[in-house]
Amino acid sequence: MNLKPTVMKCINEEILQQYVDGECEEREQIAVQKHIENCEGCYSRWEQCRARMIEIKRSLNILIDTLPAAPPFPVPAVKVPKRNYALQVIVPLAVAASLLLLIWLGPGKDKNSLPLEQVLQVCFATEVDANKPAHQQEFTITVVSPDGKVSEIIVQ
Amino acid sequence: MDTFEKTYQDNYNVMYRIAIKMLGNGSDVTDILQDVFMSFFEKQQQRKRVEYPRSWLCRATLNKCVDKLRKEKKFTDAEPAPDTEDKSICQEKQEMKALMSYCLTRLSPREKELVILYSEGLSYKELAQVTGIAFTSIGKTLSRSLKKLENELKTHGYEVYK
Repeated sequence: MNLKPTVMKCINEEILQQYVDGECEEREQIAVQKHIENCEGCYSRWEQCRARMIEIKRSLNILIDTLPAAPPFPVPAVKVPKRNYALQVIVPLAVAASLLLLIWLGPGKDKNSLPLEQVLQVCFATEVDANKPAHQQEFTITVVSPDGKVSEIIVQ
Repeated sequence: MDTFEKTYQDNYNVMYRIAIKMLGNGSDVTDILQDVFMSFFEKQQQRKRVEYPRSWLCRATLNKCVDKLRKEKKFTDAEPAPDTEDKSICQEKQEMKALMSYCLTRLSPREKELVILYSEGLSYKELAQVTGIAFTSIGKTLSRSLKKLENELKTHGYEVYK
C-alpha cells in the first residue's frame, strides 16, 4: 500500500468506528476507504480501532464457558375462562323478579281490575354475550298490554 | 405458537450470552430467560404487538439482569480488582474472566450494556432500540465506551492488542 500524506480532512473517531463496524453509508464508506489509503495517521488509527473491536469482542466472549442448547419452553396451559353464573343466570333472574314485583305493586293498581296475567303479558329476552363484560350486557323486556300495545324496554 | 417457538429458538442463545456477560456464570440465568420469554409469550397471547422482538427481548433481559444486580448490590458497588499477580492459583483464562468482569463494572451501566450488546453483534439500529441512545450517537458513544474499557484493561496490565 502506498501511504503518503494527504490534505483531506482526517476521519473523526465516530466515523472511524462506523467504518470499522460496516455501518457507514456506501458513499461515506468509499470516501473513508480512500482517505485511509492515503493518510498514514488515519490508517494507523483504523488499524488500532479494528484491533480494539476484535480483541474486546474476543475478550468479552471469554466470559462464556459453555453455551447450552435452548431448553424446551414450558408453554403454560391456556386458561379457560370460568363460566360466570352470576352474569348468565342470577342477574337476569333478579332483574326479571324486580320488574315483576314493580308491576305487581306499582301505583294505580285497581283492586277491581283484572288479574295481572290478564292485563300484561311480559316477556323477558336475554341473550348473554360471553365476549362482553357485565356492564355492557343488554337485557330486553317486551310488555304487551290488554289492548295489544307492545312496549319494548332495553336495559343496558 | 410457531412464531413464538421460532423467536425462542432464534434468540435464546444471544439472550443467554448477554445475561452471562451481565451477571457472570453461575447466576440464575436460565430462570431469568424463562421469565423474559414467559412475558413475551403472554404479550403474544394478549395480541400485543412487539415491533422488534429481538430488541424487546434484549431490553427485557438487561432489565432483569439489572434488577438482579441491584438486589445483590453488585451494580453500584464495584468489586475489588482481581489479584493478577497470583498466577499460581488462577489460570490465565480465569484471570482474564475476573479482570473483564471487574473492568465492566467500571463502565457506567449504559456503557456496559452497549459494549455487551455490541459484542453480541447487534447492529447500530438494534443498539439504539435496546439502549435508547439516539441512532446517530451510537458510533460516538460506542467508540468512547470501547476506549474506556480498553484503558481499564490496560490499567490492570492487560494489553488489548499486542
